[in-house]
Order: sequence, then structure tokens, then C-alpha cells
Amino acid sequence: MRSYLSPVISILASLAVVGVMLAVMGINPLEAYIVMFSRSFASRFGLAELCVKTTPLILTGLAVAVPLRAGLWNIGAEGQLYMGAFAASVVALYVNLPDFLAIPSMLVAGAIFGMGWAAIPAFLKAKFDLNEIISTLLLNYVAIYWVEYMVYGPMRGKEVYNFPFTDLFPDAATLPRFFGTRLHLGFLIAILAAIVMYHILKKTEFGFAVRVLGANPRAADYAGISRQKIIICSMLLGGMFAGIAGMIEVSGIQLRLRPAISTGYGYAGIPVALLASGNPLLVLLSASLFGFIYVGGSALQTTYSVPVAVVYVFQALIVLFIIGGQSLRRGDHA
Amino acid sequence: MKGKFLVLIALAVLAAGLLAGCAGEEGKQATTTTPTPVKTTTAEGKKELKAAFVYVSPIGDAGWTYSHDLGRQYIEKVYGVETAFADNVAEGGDDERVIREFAEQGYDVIFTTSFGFMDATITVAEDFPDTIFEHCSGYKTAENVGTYFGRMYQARYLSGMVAGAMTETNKIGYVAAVPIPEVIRGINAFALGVKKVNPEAKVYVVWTGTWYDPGDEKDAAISLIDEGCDVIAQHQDSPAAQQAAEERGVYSIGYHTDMSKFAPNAHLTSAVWNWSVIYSYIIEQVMQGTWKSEQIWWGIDKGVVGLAPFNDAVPEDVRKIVEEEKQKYINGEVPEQYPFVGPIYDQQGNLVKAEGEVMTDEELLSMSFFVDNVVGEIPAASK
Repeated sequence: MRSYLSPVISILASLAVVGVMLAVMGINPLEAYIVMFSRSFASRFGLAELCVKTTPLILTGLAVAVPLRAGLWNIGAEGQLYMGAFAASVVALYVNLPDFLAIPSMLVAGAIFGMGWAAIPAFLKAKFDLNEIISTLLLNYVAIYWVEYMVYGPMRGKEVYNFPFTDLFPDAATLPRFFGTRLHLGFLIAILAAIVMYHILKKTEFGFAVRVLGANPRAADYAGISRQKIIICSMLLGGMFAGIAGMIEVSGIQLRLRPAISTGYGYAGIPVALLASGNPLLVLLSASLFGFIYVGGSALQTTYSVPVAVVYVFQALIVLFIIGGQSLRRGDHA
Repeated sequence: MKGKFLVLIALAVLAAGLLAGCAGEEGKQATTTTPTPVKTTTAEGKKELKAAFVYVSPIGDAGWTYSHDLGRQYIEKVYGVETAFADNVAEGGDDERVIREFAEQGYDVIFTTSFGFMDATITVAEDFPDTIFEHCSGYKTAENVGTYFGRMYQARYLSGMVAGAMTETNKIGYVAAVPIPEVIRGINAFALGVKKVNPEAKVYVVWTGTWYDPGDEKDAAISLIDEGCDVIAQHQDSPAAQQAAEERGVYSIGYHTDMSKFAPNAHLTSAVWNWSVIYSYIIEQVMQGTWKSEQIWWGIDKGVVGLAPFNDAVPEDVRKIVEEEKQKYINGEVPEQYPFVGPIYDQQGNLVKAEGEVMTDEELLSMSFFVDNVVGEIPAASK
């Protein structure tokens, strides 16, 4: 039983260590944690921002979690996110559609490009057993530079004074927002995605095959499960979620394409998925935790004017403790 | 079973967080004044001002954000303004939240110091009509949003004259950051300064595509030196190009703030920002209650931009001609847009501005071509 407590213990331990750090800097740690919590939970805007920051993390968390369940490491959610954002932006800016079709088309385009970007390492893995960690990681750079090339070149806007941005999306291509905050429809899409994915993994034959392959590849062979098919399908699903994350980020928050659309959401998806042990429903919770770390971190910045490095150390410590706790837990069972 | 238990625990954590959050509301009220220790009242006993700064990169010890932070420290010291800052805020994503947090905390003036903060500044300003917003380097304004910037190209031009006078190989290297108009304008002004004193010399441009990447910047500088460049200029936030010049025994021209301490022998001068001039002006306007939304774009005559002290290696006659050119701005003998006054040719030899024609501010702000003594290309420039 005690092993289930490990995430909680990890979080408390990291809070304690960071508390010492804050105290050394002359900041009362309790007060600082109260600031972090109250800014994230106790106001309409704080809660909305928490959801805004959590949204891409849920999707990139799923992008890592689904292949993880099949025993694959998708380090490429960042690149898949960029490709999804790129495709959605092209649809938003250059395709003439009736208003009501704009958002659905962008969503589909983002999903397909995210999938397509994941299809390359998936195919290489299935066909030639090429290490997917390397191929997904390296393709991130290709995708990021591709977006950079597009916004510096062909997609550069007319109303941006030659800055590397596209023009703002038309209204029909932006996600509706709620309650006068930045909370947007993408949050609901992300939650829905997690719930659907949970049921697919749990209830369908495909989900069963994924779990068997992840748990014991040889058992999968004996059960007549095609490794190649599962590898490709789980990676494609992962890429799809990351691509949707990219679409949501540009049409919900950025409202245009620009070089740095993600603050590392694709990479943050890895600890999000690990903390959730690849369970899509738990991804909702672990993504919220990371969202809280981000929002609370910027609350620390604006309240205490601490250099951003302190916030990064804080975030890194929490991740380290959590992952450390996870591996200890796994050690228990071994 | 396992899943359910974890969910329960996580929910408990969230609930605890919510409770703490509600309890914290009162705690926050009581404690908001404690974090920032400096408390001074102005001589006239006027209402104490609070100003917040949103930075795009870490402050560090050189570069764009560092130069703004010097301005922040200046108004804190001189005007007793209570200041706060948040550094390394991502454009287009996190900026809106950070700006809003400062506004909610009751800061009177919020300075957002990167072009990419423009949309977020305008959006938050709509919700806080009583707060003053000042956005650096953008073009969107509102009743409570002003913009400010400096005509850095004037100082670039003067530093180009120094480089043009000091080169022996007639090859000057320029480690360029990201191909946006501000950077391109700086390169062109620098090249026009070189041309003014040395029509034979060319400016060789290498792009790093980054604002801060000391490794790449140093490599770029070294490759330029290997090609025969004997003066190295730069745009990035780190002094890596200066250090490369120092190691290789060639000259260098710094940027943002005086970079002499990083390369005491190589460093000839730097084109520097002095934001305290603009920040002081804005703070005074706010204190006197006379603030209104303006588009400030000041030059060397006001002291917003300038040159760092010269290296001893710069001979007297060079200092003299640079000083003479500088005086032309101060005495109003040349338009603010100078040196962007015709005849100006682009790299293909096309006449961009005829004799005596002055480029407009609009043209300066969206510049996307190189003048004729620049060697290099603008990546993916759209025409």
C-alpha cells in the first residue's frame, strides 16, 4: 500500500527542499506556497490560467502515455505539436471555409500532421527496429526549424512589420473562450480525449493488445498480437494527441503562428505520462499538477521578483523527486 | 483498485490545495506588502508609485534585458519607485498571465519590454483601464498603452565609423542574431558608418538565428576572423563574440551595454542603451499626473542610445570625426532618420532612396534589405 503514496511523498519532499531554498533567499516558504496556491485556485483568472496551462500538458501527456503503454518512448511530442500547429495555421490562414467548418478542419489537419510526423519513427521502428527515442527526438528539431522557416518566409504576415509572425487568425479560426478569461474550448477537448483514450485502452481489443505488448512483448507474440501493428497504431495515436495540442495552442492562446509556440510542452509530457504511469485518467491529474507548478511558478516571479532560475530549479526538483519516487516504487516490486 | 486509490489521493491533494487557496486569500491581503523591501516616499509626499517590468529573457550580466533592468534599478533608486520584475517570460503564451498578475496586484505602470508582448499588453490593458502600460518596440497603442523605443541605429552608425576607421583588412565581421527589422536596421546603419569613413570596406554578416547562444556566437565570430575580418560586431545578448575577438587578437564592437570588461583589449566601443532616460521621463509624467499615451522613439540627442567609452587604441582623429557626426544629431543638422538618407543602394545595386530623400519611420521599422557594402543574405526574407 505504501507504494501508492509515493507521488504524494515526492511532492511533499520537494516542497520541503525548495522551502529551504526559498528561506535562504529570505522568502518565507509557507507564505510563498500560499501565494502559489491562492493565485492558481482562489480566483477566476487563476483557475482559468491553470486550465489553460494544463490543456497542452494533458494532450502531450497522452502523446507520451499511449506509446508508453506499448513499451515505446515518444520523445517527439514537441515536434508533433509544432507540425499540428503548422497545419492548423495553414488551414486558418489560407483555406477558405464556411465559419462553422474552420475549427473542425483545423482540428483534423492538426491531428493528421501530428500523426504523420509520428508515423516516420513508428514505421522505422516497426520495419527496421530503429530506436524510436533517437528518431522521435531528432525529428523535433526538424519540425521546429520547419515552423521557423515558414514564419520567417512564406507565412510571414502582412501586418507584422516583418517580424517572424503570421497575421492573426480570423475570428472563426479561434477557439471560443469562456467567463471573460483565457479558458477556451481546448480544455474540454483535452479532457474528452483523455476519457476516450482511457476507455479505448481499457475496454477494446486494441487497448488489450497495447497493454500486453507493453507488459511482455513475448507474451504478445504468443497471443498472436502483431507487434508492428501495435507499434504503429500507438505511435500514431500519440502523434495525433500532440498534433491536436499544437492546433489548440495556436487557435486558443497564440491566435497566430510564431517561432516559439511551445514552452517545452512536448518534453513536459514525458514526466506527466510517467507520473500517471501511462494511465490516461491519471494524466488529467498529473497534467494539472504540472500546470500548477507553472502557474504557481510565475506567481512566485511576479510576487517576489525572484530570478526565473529559482522557479526552474523548483520545477526541476519536483520532477526529480517524482521520477525518483516512481523508480523507487518500481524497485519495490522488482 | 490501484487506480481508484491513486485518484483519491490526488483528489485529496487538490482539495487541500483549494482549502489552502481560500485560506490564503486573507493571508495574501496581509502579506502583499512584505515581499518588496524598498519603501520610500517622494519628497513631495505624493502617492507612492509601483512599477512592474516584464522581461523576455533572464537578466544575466549583459544584453537586452540587462540593459532594461539597469533602467529599472535607476528609477527605483532615483524616484523611490517600488519595482518588481518577472524575467524569461514566454511571448504569446505566458505573457498575458504575467502582465495580468502585475495589474491585479495594483502596479501603477507596467513595462513590457519585448515586441512579442504587444498583443498581450493590449489585451490586458483593456481590462485595467486605470493602469498604465508601456510597451517597448511595438506599434499598437491604446488610451492607457504607450510605446517607447530608441533609435539605436544612430549609435550603430557611429560605431560603424569606428570599425571602418580601424580595419586594416577592409573586412568587418558582424555576428547577427535573428533576421527581424531591428537587427537588419542595425547592420545597415553600421555598414553606412563603415562606408562613411572607408568606402572600400565590406561588412560580412553571419546569422546565429538566436538571441542568446554563446557557443554559436563564438563559433560565428571565429569563422569571420578566419575569413580575414579584423573587427567583429555583434547583436546578441552575450559577450561571446567579444571574447572570441579578444582571444584572436582582433578588434570588436559591443552592443546593449558597455562590454569592455569582457574583452579589454579587443573592445573598441559598444553601441549602448540607456533606458533610464525614457523610464525617468515616463515615471515623471505619471507622478505629475500628466501621463498620456505616446509613441516615444528617441535618439542619441536625448541620450537613450550612445557609445561606450573608447578603447585607448582608437586614435584622436577617429574620435573627432565620430564626435562631429554625433553633434549633427544633437544640433539637429541631420534628420532623426540619418544615416538612412539617400543615396542608398541595396546589394543588387538598386537605388532604394534617391539623393537627399529620407526614409520614413515606417520604412525603418519594417526594413528587410541590406545596403550595398554588406556581404551576406537575409534568411527567408519575404519581399
